[in-house]
Amino acid sequence: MSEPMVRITGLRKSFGSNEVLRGIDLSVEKGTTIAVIGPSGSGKSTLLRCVNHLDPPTAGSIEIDGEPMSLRPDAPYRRQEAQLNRMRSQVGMVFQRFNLFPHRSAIGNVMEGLLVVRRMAEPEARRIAAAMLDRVGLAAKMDAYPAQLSGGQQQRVAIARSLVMEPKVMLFDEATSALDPELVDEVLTVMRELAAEGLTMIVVTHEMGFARDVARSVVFMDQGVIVEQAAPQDIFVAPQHDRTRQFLRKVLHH
Amino acid sequence: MPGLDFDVILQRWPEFLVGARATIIYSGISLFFASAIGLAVALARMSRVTPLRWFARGYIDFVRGTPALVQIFFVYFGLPAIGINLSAPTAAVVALSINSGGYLAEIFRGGIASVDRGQAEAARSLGMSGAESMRRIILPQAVLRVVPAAAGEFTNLVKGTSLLSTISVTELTRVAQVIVGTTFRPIEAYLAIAVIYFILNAFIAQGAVWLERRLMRAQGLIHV
Ligand SMILES: Nc1ncnc2c1ncn2[C@@H]1O[C@H](COP(=O)(O)OP(=O)(O)OP(=O)(O)O)[C@@H](O)[C@H]1O
Ligand SMILES: [Mg+2]
Repeated sequence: MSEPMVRITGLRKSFGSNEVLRGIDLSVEKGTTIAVIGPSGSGKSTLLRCVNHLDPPTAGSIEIDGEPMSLRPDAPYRRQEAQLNRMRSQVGMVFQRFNLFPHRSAIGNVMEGLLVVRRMAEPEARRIAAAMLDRVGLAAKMDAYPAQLSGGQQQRVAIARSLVMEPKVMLFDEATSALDPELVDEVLTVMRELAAEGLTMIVVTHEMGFARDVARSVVFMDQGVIVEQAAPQDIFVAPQHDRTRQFLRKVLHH
Repeated sequence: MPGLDFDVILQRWPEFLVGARATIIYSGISLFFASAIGLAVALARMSRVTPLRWFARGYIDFVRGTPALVQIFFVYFGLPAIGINLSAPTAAVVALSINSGGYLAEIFRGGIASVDRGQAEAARSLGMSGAESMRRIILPQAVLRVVPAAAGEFTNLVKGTSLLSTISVTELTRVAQVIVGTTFRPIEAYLAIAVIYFILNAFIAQGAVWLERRLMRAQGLIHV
C-alpha cells in the first residue's frame, strides 16, 4: 500500500492537566474519507485541530503526504512558522460555525487564500474562485456577503474557500451541526461529491448515514482514544466494543 | 452687576479663529501620532515576546495613571534637563500623542480581542501568517468596532489641548485668557470658547457616525 496522505503517530494533547488526546495513531489513505464519531467531549475536534496545529500537539507527530506538519521545537521560530504556514495551506479545514470573513463577499472569502498565501494576481484568483463557487452551486451568490447568505450557503462558501487552495486533505468538524435540518443536505451533497472525486477527507460527524455511505473507514473515539476503527459495514452492523455499541444505540435510535 | 457684553468679545473673532485653528491642528496631528502609538502598543501588549508585553503594559499604566498636565510639564520643562529641548508646539504634540496613545492602545486592544477567535483560526488554517491574518482579517473588523470609543478619545484629545495654555501655546484657551486680560470679560470669553469646543466635538461625534456607516458599507455589513 502506498504512503498514506495523513499519518498521525502517538498523538497526545493536554490542556493544562487535562489530557484530552491520549495516544492517537491513525492513517488516512490517499483519496479516501475517514469518519470520526464519538460522544461529546471525546476529543474529536481537538484531534482535527491538532492535525493542522491550530492546537499544537503535546506529543506525537503529524505527517501530510510524508512531510511533517511541524519542524522540531529546537528549530528557529521563523522557520517553524514558515513550515506551519506552508503545511496548513495544504490542509483544508471546515468549521462547525463556518468562520467566514464577514467583511468579504463570498468571492472575496474564496479569493483570500489565493491572494495572500499563494500570492496570485487578482484576475486569476477571481477566475479560480468564481469557478469554485460555481462548483458548490453558488455562482449566483458571488457578490453576496456572509450576512446575506443562509447557513448552508455560508458553509458551502467555506468549503470553496478551503478547496481553492487545492488541499491534500480536508478536515470537516461537524460541518452540518450548526445548520437548520433542511439545509444539511445541500452541504452533505457537496461533501459526497468531493469524496467521490477522490479528495482525502477526515470528517467528524453526527450524520451516521453520511459516514456509512461515504467513509472508507469509521473511527469511534471515546475519552481521548480510538476505541475502534472499522469499515462502516462492520462497525455499524457488528461493533466490537461495548462503548461503541452503547454510543451507536443512542445515536441511531433517537 | 454689569450686564453681559458680547460685542467686545465678538470683535475679537479673528483671534478666536486662530485659536480654534490651532486647537484643531494640535489635536489632529496628535491624533495621527497617537493612533500609530496606540496600534503599536496594542500589538506589543499582545505580542509573544514577553519584554514587549511588559513594556506595553507599563506604558499604558503609566500614561493612564498620571495627569496629562504633569506629562506636558515633564516633556516641556523636564526634558531640557537631559538635553532635549523642544519648542512649545513640538512638546505639545509629543505629550498629547504619548498620552492619547496610551488610551488608544487599550481601545485598540479591546477591539482586536473582540473579534471572534474563529476568524484568526480560519485565516491561519488557510496558511496565513499571524501578521497577514492580523492585517487582512482581524484589524479591518476591529477598526469598525473601535470607531465610537476612538472618537470619544479624540474628543478627550480636543479638550486636552486646553492644557497647552499652561506652556504658552496659542490655542483656544490661551486666546481666551489673553482676551480676558485686556477686556476683563471672563464670562463672555470663556463661554465663547466653550461653545467652540462643543461645536468641534459635535463634529467629531457626527464624523464618527459617518465613518462607522461608511466602513460598514465598505465591509458589506449594511446594504443600501
Ligand atoms: N482550548 C481548550 N482549553 C481547555 N480545554 C479544552 C480546549 N479545547 C477542548 N478542551 C477540552 O477537551 C475535551 C475534548 O474537547 P473536544 O472539543 O475535542 O471534544 P469533541 O469530541 O469535539 O466534542 P463535541 O462532540 O461536543 O464537539 C473537552 O473536555 C474540552 O473541554
Ligand atoms: Mg467538537
